[in-house]
Amino acid sequence: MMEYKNYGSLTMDQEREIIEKIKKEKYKRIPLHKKVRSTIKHVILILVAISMLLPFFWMVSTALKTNNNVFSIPPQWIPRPAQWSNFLRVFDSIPFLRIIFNTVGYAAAVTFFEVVMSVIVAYGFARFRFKWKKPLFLFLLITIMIPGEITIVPTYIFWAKLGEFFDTSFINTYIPLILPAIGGQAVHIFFMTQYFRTIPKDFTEAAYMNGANSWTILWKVFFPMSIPAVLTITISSFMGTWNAFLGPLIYLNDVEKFTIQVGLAMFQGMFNVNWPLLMAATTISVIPMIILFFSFQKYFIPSNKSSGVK
Amino acid sequence: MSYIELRNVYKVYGNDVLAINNFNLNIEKNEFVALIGPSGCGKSTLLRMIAGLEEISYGDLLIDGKKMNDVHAKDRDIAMVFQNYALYPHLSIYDNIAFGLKLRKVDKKTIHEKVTQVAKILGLEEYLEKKPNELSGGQRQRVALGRAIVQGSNIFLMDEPLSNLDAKLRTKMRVEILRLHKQLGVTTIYVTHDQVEAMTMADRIVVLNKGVIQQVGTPTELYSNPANLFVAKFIGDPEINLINATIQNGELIFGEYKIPLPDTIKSGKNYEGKEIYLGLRAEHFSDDRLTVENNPAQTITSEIELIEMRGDHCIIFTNINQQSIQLKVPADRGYTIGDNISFVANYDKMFLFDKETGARIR
Repeated sequence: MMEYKNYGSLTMDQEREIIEKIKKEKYKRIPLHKKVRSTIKHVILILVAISMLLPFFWMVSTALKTNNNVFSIPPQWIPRPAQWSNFLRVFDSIPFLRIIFNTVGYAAAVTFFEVVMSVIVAYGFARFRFKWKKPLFLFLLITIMIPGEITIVPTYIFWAKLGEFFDTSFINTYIPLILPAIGGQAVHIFFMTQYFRTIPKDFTEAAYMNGANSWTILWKVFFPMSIPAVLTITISSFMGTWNAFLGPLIYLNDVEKFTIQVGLAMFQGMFNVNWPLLMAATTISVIPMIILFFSFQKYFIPSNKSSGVK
Repeated sequence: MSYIELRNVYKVYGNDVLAINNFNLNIEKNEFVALIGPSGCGKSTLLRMIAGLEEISYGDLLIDGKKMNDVHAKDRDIAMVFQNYALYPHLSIYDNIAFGLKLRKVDKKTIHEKVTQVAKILGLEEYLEKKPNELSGGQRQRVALGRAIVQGSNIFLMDEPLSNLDAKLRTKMRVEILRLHKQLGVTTIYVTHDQVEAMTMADRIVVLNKGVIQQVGTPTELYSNPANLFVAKFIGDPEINLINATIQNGELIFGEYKIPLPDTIKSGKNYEGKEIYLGLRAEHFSDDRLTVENNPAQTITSEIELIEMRGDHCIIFTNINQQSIQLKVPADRGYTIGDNISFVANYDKMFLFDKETGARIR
């Protein structure tokens, strides 16, 4: 290594020179077996990535095939000619546009209620002292552990009877699908409670001394300070609703009211499946998910930027 | 009538924790009072009770003659600076300073004027558009001060505001806070566990231990005239030297050394034959050659164990009678570890403490 007799500060160039040298030295000193290990790691990671991407590729590829060459051997990776018309035929064979609108509305409503209510309930659990707080929180956690499939029959009966009670019918409406969201979502409540608990008390007290009440503190302090967490539950809620199948399948009867996942199932008959159309429709249905995921990806990585507190 | 009065204040947590025990204090207008004590002594609790963040279990808090126990924090005319600054990370510096005013529905024009004015006082003008995480520790601290100043309150409460800063910045902010205090003349109650902060900044210091006031006084009073062992140990750096000693036949005996007992104690409680503490501060010793040669009978010689360089002086770690003590000597003496040092103690300055109760005897 070079010696620098300069006891003052170094120039930028001198600094860069030292850093470059150290980097080179460091790389030279990495033993062979470590380099080999690193290569193997990368090969494995690439293989895993391919195995994840392959189904996507197969989906898009099938969407562009004719019904005849879906299962041709050897498999046709890039179909020729590409049947772009499959995407239009999706809209002809079922009211797909209407179905998309239904799903957007349904997902937006559920997401809105689930997020807002979960935030409010979580704030209560995180910041207030009240009787039975611990048992209530435990009860909340227990509800997460019950699989939804178990409750689906009693829930259906409940909504049917409730409809009778009010002299109307809730079956074939969105009410049983949207109304429960007003109670919030147990996993989100748990998640937000944990997040809120990490916000130092000083923030609350500073706002309190300025005359803010609990409601103001929630929306002006806690909520904006928890944007990454809120976005996480928002995306999770939206995806969950967008991909929901069983609920809409059971409660909705008219094609005009269907959601995307139920709509997709229409391409699967008892004996034959129209693979190209199913895959074309599926491709359309995952586009919003992909856009959503990539645009908010940075928020999934928890940020440590809440540096108002040191 | 004082500006802030605390009368027989108690704080009880749960059923059995007495955090504050019969606290009485009068604070005058424009005064800078520091509350100090070890962690858990109740100093923060007291501050929070004054702020209105904690309920007062018993006793009265009066501000400007009005009882404040049940008045909401926002109506007490108090601004508080928190240890963690509590700056909202999602808001710009401008909005952080304006936060309280906005909550109080002050009109936009007035807010703008006030924030700009405060930013000018604190030298924050160019940072108003930035977010807290773009600022350095000292700047954040200044924003926290700005948030308190902008409210125009007559009382500032500060809860260890400098403890998150590095040593150099702390010294700098100390001066800045003092300057602000002189400039604004706001009555300030300052909580810290750092005696240096309290000594350098406060007009008066309140020393607390386990929820009980140990002493109230000016920095000089506390240093040169501590009320008891606790205050003597808490104030001063290096810590006061405490030497085990016995009183026998009008003499103070520690190991092989004997000194005549000062007159003041003879009239007091009878400590004949009892063990007590002899307290001497590091600067109450002299290794000056002339002094040592003139007092051969009083000279103590022992080996140097450690030397702590402090620039113009150094702290010598040595011992008397197997009890370690620290001496403050000029840095140019040229001692090295293992040398013998001869010194004379200035017994006129000594403190004597009851070993059991910690009460000051002399």
